[in-house]
Amino acid sequence: MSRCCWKKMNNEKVFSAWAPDHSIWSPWVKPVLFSHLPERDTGGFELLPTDISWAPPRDERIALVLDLPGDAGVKLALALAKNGYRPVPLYNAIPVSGDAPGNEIRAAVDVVPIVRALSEGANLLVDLHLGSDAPPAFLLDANRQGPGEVAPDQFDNRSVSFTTDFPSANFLRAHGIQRAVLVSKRAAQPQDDLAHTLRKWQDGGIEIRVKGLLDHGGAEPIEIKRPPRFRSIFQRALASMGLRRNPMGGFGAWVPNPESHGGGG
Amino acid sequence: MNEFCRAGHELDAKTFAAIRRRTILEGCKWDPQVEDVSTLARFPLIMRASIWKSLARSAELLATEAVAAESEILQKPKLLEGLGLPRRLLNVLRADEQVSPAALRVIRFDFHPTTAGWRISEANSDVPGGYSEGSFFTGLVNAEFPELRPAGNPGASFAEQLLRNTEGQGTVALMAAPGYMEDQQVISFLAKNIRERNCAATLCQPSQLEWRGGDAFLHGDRVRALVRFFQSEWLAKLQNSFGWRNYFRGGNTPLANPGSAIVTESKRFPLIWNELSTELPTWRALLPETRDPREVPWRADESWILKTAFCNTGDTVSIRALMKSCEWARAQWSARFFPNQWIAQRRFESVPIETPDGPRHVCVGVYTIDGRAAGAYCRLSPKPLIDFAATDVALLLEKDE
Repeated sequence: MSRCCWKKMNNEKVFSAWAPDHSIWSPWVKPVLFSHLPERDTGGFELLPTDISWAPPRDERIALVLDLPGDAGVKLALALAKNGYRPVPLYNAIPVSGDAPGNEIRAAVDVVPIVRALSEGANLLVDLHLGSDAPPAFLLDANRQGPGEVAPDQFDNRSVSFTTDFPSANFLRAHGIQRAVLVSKRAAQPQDDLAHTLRKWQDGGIEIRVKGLLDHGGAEPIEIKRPPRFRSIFQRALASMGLRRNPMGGFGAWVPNPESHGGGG
Repeated sequence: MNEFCRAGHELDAKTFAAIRRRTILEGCKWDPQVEDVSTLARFPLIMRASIWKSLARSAELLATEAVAAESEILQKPKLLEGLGLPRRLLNVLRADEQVSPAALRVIRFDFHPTTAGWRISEANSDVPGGYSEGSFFTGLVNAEFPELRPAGNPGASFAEQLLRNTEGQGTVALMAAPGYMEDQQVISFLAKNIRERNCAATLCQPSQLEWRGGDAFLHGDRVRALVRFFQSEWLAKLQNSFGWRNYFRGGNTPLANPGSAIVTESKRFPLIWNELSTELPTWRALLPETRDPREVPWRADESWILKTAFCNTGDTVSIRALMKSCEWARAQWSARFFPNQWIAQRRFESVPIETPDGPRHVCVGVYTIDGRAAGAYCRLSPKPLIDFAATDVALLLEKDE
């Protein structure tokens, strides 16, 4: 177990720790969670022992895609960072409803632990002095599409991962990356939204492997199946519309509660 | 430099990184990268002040004509039928109740340099975005070019005009569908501008608002004004219990924009010009010829492009030469079977400018707020089509020689 020394950081410094100017992967870091970091002191980060024996050495130039629930991705990424991987957070959910204090609504997807882990892990990341070309570990919240039905009166902050959230296969190959490993709880086909990216990478010459953290052994080759509406020019719109069909005209809407809302008109 | 505008020099990497970081963390710009493309340009777009003055004047005339035409159309319900509106929306707009009041009217006119001079591709009358890029980001870039000046600050102008036009206590509610990050960032930025002027601003979604006799309430309190970044055609998909009719007719709470703005947002608006008594000389001069797809040979003649009546981010602009054959076939099929939802428009020849990134096509989106020019949201694209992957660029003005 290691514990990094604690330093006070504002959100700009925390963001800079995860998206330093010198890293070629920084442009892809999603800023939403960082712009919602509370202005308060953050504690130190306790890096628990984590089995990363399956992870390829950084010299093999492999991109990792960690599709893990909650803050598990951040914690694993920090362990991998010690082995030379650059974590690239792609979390794209608004953590809070934005209502006045006291009126805040419980969010459908709890990303507060992720916010906390990003904040607390920043010092550790800075201290590792990762190189500009460290291979990337892209971080997604496996719970991003919510637990199924969203309860009435919840703030619906579910999100979708798009192909445009990642670098292209051309960019990866131009930086010496020929292979990517999808890391999830179980070795399986990726979630539908992520499948678009991985299939596109696969078609672009990137070999895809999959590693289930609950499975024994290393990463296994996988053929990413063609997801629905693959390569549609309207993929962004279709993904949005398909995630939730409700009276709000698309996904990400406030879930209506007919019992509690009257309304005139 | 061409006669329209030019690109300035590129900022050094460290300076630009600091600008980018502040823009995304403080300026609510949450989509700064689309695949391999940075959506923030490292250089400004520079325009002579006299050219800006001319564009601003044109935009003000366009806005005045648009609002007058909208008023006339709302009094002549028959004309509404030609705009390709959803049936539920059409029924509400044809009703007898009073039109819901405006807290302000903001319209963004997208100007393009073409071989025939400046032309507009569209008016964003309903829910124009781009305030952060046209205000906060532009301000940061301007600080690196102190000899130049911005064309305005649309975010600040919006907040000031809104508060000037609306009186009394209560919060300003800003409404969008959560999950659409591009929309959330717009209302978050406007809310920030309103709060900086000592007025409460609360983000919300349609179902949180309660309508009582035409007045909007949020968390039990009367709303001072309602800023809407939720497209009108989406409002018409809401359940009646959400009081969506109040955005169009019968509401008392001032709206920015009122739902009636959809009249001039429709790309089919030009198809009814000849039936109006309102004169539209500026529109007629600046908007390329626009026709019903059944009237012109767009399939055989590539000088015509297709657009849907409600084309919000350029995503349904269909230019045969820029599309794969299967994409064009889909657009063609839809336009043939649903012609009332489409227009055919003469394609203009955009004149690209040289930039540090290579030749780029330019779109200068000029805001008008209550009829007065208030700054610009500018984008660059390597192709003659501006869509969601275009690069945002700060517009700065230089003195005429």
